[in-house]
Amino acid sequence: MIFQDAAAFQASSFTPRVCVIGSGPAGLSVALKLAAAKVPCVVLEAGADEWTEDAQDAYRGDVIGDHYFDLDVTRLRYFGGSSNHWAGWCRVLDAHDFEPKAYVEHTGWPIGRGDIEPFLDETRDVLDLAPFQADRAISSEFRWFEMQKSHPVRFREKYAPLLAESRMIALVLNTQVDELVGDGAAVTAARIRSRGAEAGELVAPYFVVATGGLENSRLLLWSNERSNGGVVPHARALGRYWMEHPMFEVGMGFVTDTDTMRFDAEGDAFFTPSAEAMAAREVLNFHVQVESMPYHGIKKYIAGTACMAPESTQWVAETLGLRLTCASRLHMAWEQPPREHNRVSLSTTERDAAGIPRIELHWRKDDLDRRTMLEGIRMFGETFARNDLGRIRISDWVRDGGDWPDDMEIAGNHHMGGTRMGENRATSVVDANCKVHGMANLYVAGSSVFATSGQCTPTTSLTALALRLGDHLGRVVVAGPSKA
Amino acid sequence: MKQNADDRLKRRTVLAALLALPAFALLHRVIRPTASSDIVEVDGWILKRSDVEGDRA
Repeated sequence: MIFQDAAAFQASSFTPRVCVIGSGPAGLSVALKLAAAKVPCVVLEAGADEWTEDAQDAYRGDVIGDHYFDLDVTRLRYFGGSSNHWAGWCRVLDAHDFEPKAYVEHTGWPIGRGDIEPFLDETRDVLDLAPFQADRAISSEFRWFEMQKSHPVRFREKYAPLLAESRMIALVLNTQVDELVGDGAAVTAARIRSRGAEAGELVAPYFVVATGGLENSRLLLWSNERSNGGVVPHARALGRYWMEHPMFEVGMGFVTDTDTMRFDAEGDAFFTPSAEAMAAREVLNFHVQVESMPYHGIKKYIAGTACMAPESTQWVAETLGLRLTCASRLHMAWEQPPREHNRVSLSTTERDAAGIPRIELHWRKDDLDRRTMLEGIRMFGETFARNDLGRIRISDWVRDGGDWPDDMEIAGNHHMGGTRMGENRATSVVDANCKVHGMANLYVAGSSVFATSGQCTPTTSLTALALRLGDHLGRVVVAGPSKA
Repeated sequence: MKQNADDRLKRRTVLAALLALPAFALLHRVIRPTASSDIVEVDGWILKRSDVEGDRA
């Protein structure tokens, strides 16, 4: 069932056991699993079935710290959420991404890769993915891996027909949750707003917040403030440990062994370090994307080798009259350390049309970001040379510690952390089942539960986690509250 | 396509010619040692020591 607003939903006789807030990949994945367990659920979507300026306006906010994307551009607020502009690049977190790293504080998850593996087949079905190719070691330090560039699923397009026919899922468009109401032990209701007007309270036995990696923190921070701590009783970590994947072009090079590189159809090859290699240099996870720019014959050789020094490049260019460029560009994306000071907070001055404080995102890269970038690309360059795959050159700004460029990718539009998973209530918000610490019926879905980010795009892993949550919650609902 | 021995030889010849350029004297001043004895960092390039020292490496 799809309802266009809260009034239409309230006029129906549908009685949900679970209220899911948000219709993006996380929210709909939870709902699909609940429906499979025959648990009726309502999915509230703040936006319409297409982009509108009014709905999107609620996502405006400020960034304090490093240069970052406008907060109303880096995500989308309508049916299907940010899947509507998702690029479709997929990869699952590695087993070692879940493990603590002794040299970086606050790393490690309370679950392992094995906990999400039972849901990876379903994840592939949801995201229309092919089976992942196995990684292949190119040295003791690096592995080639497949970054699966899927045709990106737009959840609105894929699931609208199924939802329209569903008797277990009621999707309500144009309806947002202004705040959750809680008593410190459970959420008792959601105060909703539909088509710009207050629309009363929605009561359900269970609630799942799935509004995205920035908005989850905002909704819970605001609800907690309004309920005097009644929604997130252990709130020290709420909004904190927020992470992105910084992405920059860090160098160039030339490739001599294209067989080992295994470029994909778009001419890209991806490499990631082993856990041992990361530990040896005390860096976090990362990947290097080698973007090929193929040449033929002597021009290729000269382009590559002459670039070894600007002076010799110029000499060759002038002598041979060739227009030289380099044979590959090196892009890097890496895992940020989870830092308490990188956080989502509520603006004290700016509010949206519903009167809810806008986001202030505090985000700075630090010394470990620099170290991971520089030592990571050095390590890759050494593997590249030692195994005669080619030679690389690291950009001057990377080696010299220059300012972060603001004319490159900057980051991945990957919003992670803020309601991170953990056992310690001082440094996490949800437990291993994505349930908010101290609350009987409140869960969080999406990449905001990531304790650490790994190096890969988050959508595949967050979908697997959401399916796992849906599976767990379905069993909890069927068994009754005592099993929560 | 994998490089054959002739290609590698050609590349090495080009490299050797380039390293004979006057600019190489400048490069020598910015060689950065690495953790591995077989690898050097020259003006940002990550090279095998044998790339810059030839048969002496």
